[in-house]
Amino acid sequence: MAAFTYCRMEFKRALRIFPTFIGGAVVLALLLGTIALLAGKVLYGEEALERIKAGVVLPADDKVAKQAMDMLSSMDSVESICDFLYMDEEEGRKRLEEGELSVLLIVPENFIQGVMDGSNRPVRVVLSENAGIEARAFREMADAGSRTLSAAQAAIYGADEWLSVSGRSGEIPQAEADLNRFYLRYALDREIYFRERTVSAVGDLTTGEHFAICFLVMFLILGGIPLSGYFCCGKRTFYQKLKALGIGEGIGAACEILAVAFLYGLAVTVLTAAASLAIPPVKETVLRISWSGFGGILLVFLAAAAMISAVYELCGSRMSGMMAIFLGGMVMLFLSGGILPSAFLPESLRQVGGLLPGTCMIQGMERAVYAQWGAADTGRMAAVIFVSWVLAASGRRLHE
Amino acid sequence: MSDGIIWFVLSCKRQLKKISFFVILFMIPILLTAVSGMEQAESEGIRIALYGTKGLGMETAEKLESFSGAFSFYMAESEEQLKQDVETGRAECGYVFPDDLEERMKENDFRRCIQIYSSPSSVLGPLTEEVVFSAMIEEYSPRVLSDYGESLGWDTEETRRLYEKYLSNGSTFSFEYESASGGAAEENTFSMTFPGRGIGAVLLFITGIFAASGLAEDEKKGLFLSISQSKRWKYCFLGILAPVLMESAALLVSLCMTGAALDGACGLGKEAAALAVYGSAIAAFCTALKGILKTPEALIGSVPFFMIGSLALCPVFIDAGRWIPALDQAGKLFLPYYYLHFFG
Repeated sequence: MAAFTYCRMEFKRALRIFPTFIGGAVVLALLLGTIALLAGKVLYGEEALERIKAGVVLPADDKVAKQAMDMLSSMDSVESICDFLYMDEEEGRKRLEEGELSVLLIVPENFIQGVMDGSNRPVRVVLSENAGIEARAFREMADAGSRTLSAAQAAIYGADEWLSVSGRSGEIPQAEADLNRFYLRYALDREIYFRERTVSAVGDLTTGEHFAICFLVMFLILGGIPLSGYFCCGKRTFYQKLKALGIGEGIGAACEILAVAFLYGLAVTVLTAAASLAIPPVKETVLRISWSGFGGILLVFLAAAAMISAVYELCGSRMSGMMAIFLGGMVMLFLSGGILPSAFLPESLRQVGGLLPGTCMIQGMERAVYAQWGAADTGRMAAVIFVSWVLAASGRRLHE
Repeated sequence: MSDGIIWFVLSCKRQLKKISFFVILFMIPILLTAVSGMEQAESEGIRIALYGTKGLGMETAEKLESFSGAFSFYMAESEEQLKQDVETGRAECGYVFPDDLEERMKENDFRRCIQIYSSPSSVLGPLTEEVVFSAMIEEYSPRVLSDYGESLGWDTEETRRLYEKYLSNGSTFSFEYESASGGAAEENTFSMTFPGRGIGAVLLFITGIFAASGLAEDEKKGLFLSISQSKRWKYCFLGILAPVLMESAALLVSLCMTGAALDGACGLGKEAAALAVYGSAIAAFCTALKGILKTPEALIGSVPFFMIGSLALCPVFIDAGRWIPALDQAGKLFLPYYYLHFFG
């Protein structure tokens, strides 16, 4: 009975900070909505996406090379990602260093003649010391493009040499035209070779849905920071008196966890209801969730609440707890593939990430919302909750 | 002046009294160094799975396995294993080549013949398509030449030999990469290292706001009663500066241990000076924020806005402002933007 009364008191104490928590969450939602709106305007065509700025240094008075670069820059596939800016080498290197350019292309003398007569002096590509991701993507595409072109050139040069040596030089123009036609047919529309299929352990999930779930889990973990006002309030004598009433560290920690999970449930419900009004697909997704899925979502909230309680109780102060939650949360989400895809991580880090609670929470939430919550998910969440509860109780005892 | 120094020292002591604060300061460099060390131990590229059992498909897969660069291609044991690797995130995506790829190329029946498996978290699919295609056409090109030559009575063995000669002797089109400092460019990679500097910058920022909230609570309890209104801002500034500067020191040690800091004594000086200026800017900003928001609850409530805003709009993980200028402008509202842009 005393434990139940204490639990009610913890819920009431948590509700006192709910207005501040939900206020912060609403402001955050407005910020994210603004970001999504700006990004959406760009992705869906109202504004131009900033393209890779490539500086081009041409040999002086080489009109043929300029025509060739103009033609290249006007091709749809190049125009959609690159802006070519013509300049001299000194200016180009300066602007590259200042970060205005992603890459600098230095075209050699007699470039076009070189392609035609087989001398092919390479185009120099200058990259900045801290090349951004767009420069690295440009480099991969450029290498792929040069491999494709080289394959065709090698075949044509080989045919030319054989015909010359065989005394059939008169057939060279026809052979070149025929081979060019064959290679263009294969190389012009490269996308048609591929048939894409998405595979996922949690069913039919889009990239946007996956990262929306990752963001929700990030909200649950980092949400422990604005909740700091709820933690580390009790004095030693208060806990001693609670113990005298039969409410030990275990019960105290459990009540704390339940109260925080209740706060999360309330906040997510309010935000989801608001989002459903503005974004119809959210409403459709929520209405599709099964009862077992809702149960799974509650378990995820409990797991997040338990981990946050454990951190604050072990740290014993709000400042340390905040630092631990932020750093630990960011590292855990990074290793769990919640920020960047896990395929970007080295194998050892990816394996470590697979064992972390963050990974269980992301996969569990995806199954709860988009597929079927299972016994294995319940087991995993229960393990996270139990271990965190034990740590929270231990932290309380440590600071009594 | 001496009052200020005493207040600052006492503020530092107050934080260090909590052993957990000291432990976490100590753990920051260790944690970041451990993650960085594991990343550096393995420098393979983004993994792409392949599967092909015979003919042109298998030869293309073997060629891709030999590529170096941003991607690390490997052969899966079966199509099922390939799908599992993509599902579990072990591979970014996977390509399955049909057994009759060469026949379909000859008959112009190559539409949608290569299966790509990707997961909801795959983001580099279109780029990998270009790389896979280039390897395939490099393998298929001599067959095009042989078939054409055979129809005209050429010596196909000789033309094949000449094809290989021109492909490997550097006489075809190529790019030559160099770094801005003049040496050869480093090997291309998409692998993302943990952004210790960015995360550290955001941590300092929210520590400042947290410290401001703590001081607002102290003010409610009467800590500043004996200090005149006009001087409170100074003590508030110093009270916020204390934990921020201590964390800055831990971040500086982390940057040195992970090798992310600038080289040499000069570089170290620049790092330390930048952190000192950044820390002071945070303390000043948070002092002003405390003056505007006043209550500890409002200050704590502002943490999600500043935290997520900094993570999303400042170049912590990626620099979204390079593609969407409006986001770059929005990023300027958050202090980590200026610190991170100082280091490019």
